[in-house]
Amino acid sequence: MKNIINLTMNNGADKAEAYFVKHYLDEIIFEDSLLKQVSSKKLHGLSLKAVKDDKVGSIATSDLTDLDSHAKKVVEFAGYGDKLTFDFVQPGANYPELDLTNEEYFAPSIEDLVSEGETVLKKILSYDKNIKVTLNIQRRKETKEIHNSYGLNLAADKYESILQGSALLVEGDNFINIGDVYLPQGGRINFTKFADDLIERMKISRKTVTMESGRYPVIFTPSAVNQMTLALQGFKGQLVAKGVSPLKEKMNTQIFHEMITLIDDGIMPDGFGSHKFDDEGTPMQKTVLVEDGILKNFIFSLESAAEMNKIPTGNGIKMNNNYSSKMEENFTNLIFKPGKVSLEEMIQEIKLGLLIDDISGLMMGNLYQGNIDSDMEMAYKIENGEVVGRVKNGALGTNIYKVWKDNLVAIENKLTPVVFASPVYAPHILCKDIYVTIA
Amino acid sequence: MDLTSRFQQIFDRHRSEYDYMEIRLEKSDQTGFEMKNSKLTELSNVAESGGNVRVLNNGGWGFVVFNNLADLEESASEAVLQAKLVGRSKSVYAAVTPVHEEIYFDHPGDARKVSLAKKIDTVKKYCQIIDNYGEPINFSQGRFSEKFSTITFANSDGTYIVQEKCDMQVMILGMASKGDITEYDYYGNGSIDDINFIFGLEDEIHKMCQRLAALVDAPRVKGGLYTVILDPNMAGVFVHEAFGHLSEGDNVAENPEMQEVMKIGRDFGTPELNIYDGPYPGKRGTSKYDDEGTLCEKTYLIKDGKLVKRLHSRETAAKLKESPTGNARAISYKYPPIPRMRTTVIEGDKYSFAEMIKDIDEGVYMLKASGGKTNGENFTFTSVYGYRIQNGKLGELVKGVTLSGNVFTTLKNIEMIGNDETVENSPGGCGKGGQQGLPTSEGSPHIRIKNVNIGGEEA
Repeated sequence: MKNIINLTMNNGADKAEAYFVKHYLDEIIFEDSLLKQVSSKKLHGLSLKAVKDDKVGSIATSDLTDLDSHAKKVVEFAGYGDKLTFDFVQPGANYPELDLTNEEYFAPSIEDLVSEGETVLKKILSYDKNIKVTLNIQRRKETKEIHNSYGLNLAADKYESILQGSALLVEGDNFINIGDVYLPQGGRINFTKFADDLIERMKISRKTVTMESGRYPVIFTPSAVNQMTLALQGFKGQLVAKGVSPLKEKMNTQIFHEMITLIDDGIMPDGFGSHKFDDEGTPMQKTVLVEDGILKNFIFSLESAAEMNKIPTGNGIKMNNNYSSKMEENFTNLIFKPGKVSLEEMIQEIKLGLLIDDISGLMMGNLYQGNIDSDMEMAYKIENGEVVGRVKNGALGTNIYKVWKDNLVAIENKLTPVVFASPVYAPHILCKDIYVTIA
Repeated sequence: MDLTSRFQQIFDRHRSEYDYMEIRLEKSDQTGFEMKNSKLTELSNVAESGGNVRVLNNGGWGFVVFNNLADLEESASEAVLQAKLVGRSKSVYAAVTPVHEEIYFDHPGDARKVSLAKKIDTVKKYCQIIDNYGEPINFSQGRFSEKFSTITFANSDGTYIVQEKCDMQVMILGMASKGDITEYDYYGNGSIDDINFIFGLEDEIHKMCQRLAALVDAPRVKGGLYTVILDPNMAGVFVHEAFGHLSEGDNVAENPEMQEVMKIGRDFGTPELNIYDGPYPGKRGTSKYDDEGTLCEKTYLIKDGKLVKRLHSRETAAKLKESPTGNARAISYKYPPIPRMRTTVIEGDKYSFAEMIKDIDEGVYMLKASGGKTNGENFTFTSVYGYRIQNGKLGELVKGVTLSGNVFTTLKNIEMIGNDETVENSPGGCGKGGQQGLPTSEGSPHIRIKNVNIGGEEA
């Protein structure tokens, strides 16, 4: 794909950059407790940028048959553009030594994976035959290349595997829908553990209990903590640069409780979000965002780094892993520093409180401000140190810069990998009193 | 060999190995740009081509996606093998009369007739209104995209359809900041045919700026149960989230308990409640045929408060012994079609806004949706702003409000349906089954709902 740079320069560009990705994906889908579909996808795409007279344009295409016409088109597009405010990556940077090609993911045949999926089904249905199980088993081989007219030529392979699933039990108008995502962490998917976890959560969710609206101690599960990290938009350099991040004047000040240390680690071995370089060619790195509650860094793409006169942090990422998507700043692997107490110890200390597992409704709220406005899609009552049942029809409205500061009481001593918008290695987090409304 | 002959050869070659086979090819061309603070930061063209082969055999599906048309025959063979691996029962698939039709885009408002420079200047003008407003507004973002796609579909029943479609969106966002407070507001719209929807928005953008500036100092609503009035935009998102998704046949087809929940004839609301889904002239999500070659039709889901039908693909229709509705949709050639909404509408009734508000002692008027979601039983959605209602009158402006509730209870708690039905083209789209951003549109009059749970700090 290096050749496209020469073609673009020959068509009059002053600078050019190419992003090329190809991937092969296997997918096995079970729906309503039945094997529904096996699919495979062989896809590729090229995204090309050209700068002419300091103006930039870009094109993206899946058609690789006529590269010269793409080269012409992107230079023509640059004529409409505004001045490029940042430069492409220069060659010579130190890229991390990372092996992201775990052959284990591709060791099982499709038939083996179908059989593993059926084992999960059997196990869950032996607990209750009325549960409708959905499973999505995916494995993916990706090759990513970035080339530019400065002579940067990067290429890296990455293999991924993921198991997503849910168990739905409908009893009258009562829906119990438990979802989970399993990241294999370097090895093969542990299907048995996945099934066991879903069954355990289903058991406790079947009993509905009542609770009054009020102020309660709340434990957020790693899944809920992952969802809460969506409210960390204020860490994005672009919002800081534009003056709309609530953190814009908070560098080196206490923004969270001193128990919170938060690292964006793009080079974590076997990390789901790890890579040698981001989608702009910047080496991925480890960035301490918050240390002992004190704000230490933001994340930057090339554009926001240039605007803020900072060094890019390797967080320029194309949304949805799509070659034609525009570049955004996003976290790579967001890692919490573990705390000192176990989940069991947290629960034991609570006389009356909540364990909240799903607040994904917060996506629609004002995330720029850090708001956590959501229904409690899955939440459990804790009574006298025990989880006693599911609480329905609850909602909360608060802000991450409040609950993770003065309201935080404890952080679990263990991290769980979870992925919602981006991969997070999250603990359970205990907050002392959050107001919830329950209809 | 021409395409139709190639398709036929593939269907014939594998005829004994499948119950049903389809081929869908897509060629699309999308131009879009983004501005930040009136400066063009992204200008791109995405030209994509690809296709898929989907095969049904003994109740199991094989699905192979490719970019190179040269891979078509090989992909068909692979999909046949996949379906054989999956199939363990009997294929169930509703009959649809085969059609041969080619539909090409033809509209006087064709976006391709307007220069890119004019579109950029237009959006820039809106961003400049925001940028020139002054404190506390300090950020503007403008986005526009137009996508033309040609989808060629053929199946083993003998259907051959070519549909050329257009989808356009504009989004103008403003952000304001004061101390630790950050607020946003937006104008969003879309069209499937007429580029003129992006012109003449100056007044809208100016009003948005005035509201945004005030939102920074506006209070939040305290948490609790309220009577709310939803504007048509919010009510449209409400019907999409709270009922539309539940009506999608794949939620029901294989689940006997869900079939009880969604039993035809069940009371879902007052006799004044009527909800339908279907194609709607000019609205996003509208096409003549769906992605399985079924003619799209207007489908009443709730009539006089009672459930009358569900939204179907050919497979879910057959499993529930109903007719296909033309709702099998795929976001692109990379995905198989699944039951999805198009334009979902609560039909207007008789109440004026004044009648709705007059006897509310303490409530909230919610306007402009910033999104919503559902898990079937519960839903959540959020407004960008609202107004308090006190003693039958509109009060102060309040920040965005998140409303959540039980689908069944909330539908029954709709007390009044207004007489001002409005169907809107919203930007963005709907997500389901990993297929994000599917164009849909929604419509409703103002509606009033009692006992709505609003999350927030203690009253």
